[in-house]
Amino acid sequence: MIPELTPGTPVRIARRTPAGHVRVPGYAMGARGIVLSGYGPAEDPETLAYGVRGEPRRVYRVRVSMAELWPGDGTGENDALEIEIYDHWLAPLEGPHDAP
Amino acid sequence: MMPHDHHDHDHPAPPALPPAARRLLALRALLVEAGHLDPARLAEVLHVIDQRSPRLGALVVARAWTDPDFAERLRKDARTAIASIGIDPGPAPLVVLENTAEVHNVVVCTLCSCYPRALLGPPPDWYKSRAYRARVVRWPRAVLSEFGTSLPEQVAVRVHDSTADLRYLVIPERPAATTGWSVERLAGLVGRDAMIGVQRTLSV
Repeated sequence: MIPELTPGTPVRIARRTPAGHVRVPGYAMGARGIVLSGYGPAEDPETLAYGVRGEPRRVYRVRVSMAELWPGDGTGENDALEIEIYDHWLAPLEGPHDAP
Repeated sequence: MMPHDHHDHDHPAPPALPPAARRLLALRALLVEAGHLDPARLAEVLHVIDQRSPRLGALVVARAWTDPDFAERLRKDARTAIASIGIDPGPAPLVVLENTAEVHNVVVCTLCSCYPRALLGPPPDWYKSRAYRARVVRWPRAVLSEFGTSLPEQVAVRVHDSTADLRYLVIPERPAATTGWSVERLAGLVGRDAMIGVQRTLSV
């Protein structure tokens, strides 16, 4: 079980392309964000897609700024995406120097 | 003999069903035959789906506007709060997103078409379109303006990508000049598009 992430924790969404069903949209992979809230236990859709109940997951609402997703795009400074991400796709950020 | 020479009477052919509908009917017949699907149960489920419409979500919004205690419970646990006023919130955890003078919320499911069906009924076709799904996370302000919603610079956009287990209901701002209105009358102002978030201003 992955340690629970508390609201406010800075995280990075993993960038990986495993074979099969993936529940993280490509545009959000690799992005840095902030945990807003957590829900669970949740079933892992990436194993459920094959009829297998995997590890129980937590699913987090993560806020990612539009500037992080689309740098240099001139989107509003405060505009943001809020997206649901399962725990095995999230890692706490190491520090301010954890560059994209 | 020509293929149609036997026609000595009129029997217009029924219009052919589209291929997807034929596949669906064949699949349903197979599932029923194999005992995996009970036609009576299927009819019940379809009946329940048919009862759902944006009217239910509108009642939740109007209640939130008029009852601060309900609004607070809605923020903490939307499903329980909605069930407490006799509306079935559906099986998924639900999050309400309150628009304010500073923040505007809009909902999408980029991966498929997740939608709070229990409270809004089936999603509109545009919600399921690739164009909406791909563009609203990339150019939210431009997409909103195509729906007639031009956001002032100082209003921040929050795009909610409903990719997993949660469902979202946008609570639009209550229009001015509705003081003293009943929940029923207020609910009449709240349409589907405002609860998805592509419309910001409600007209009175």
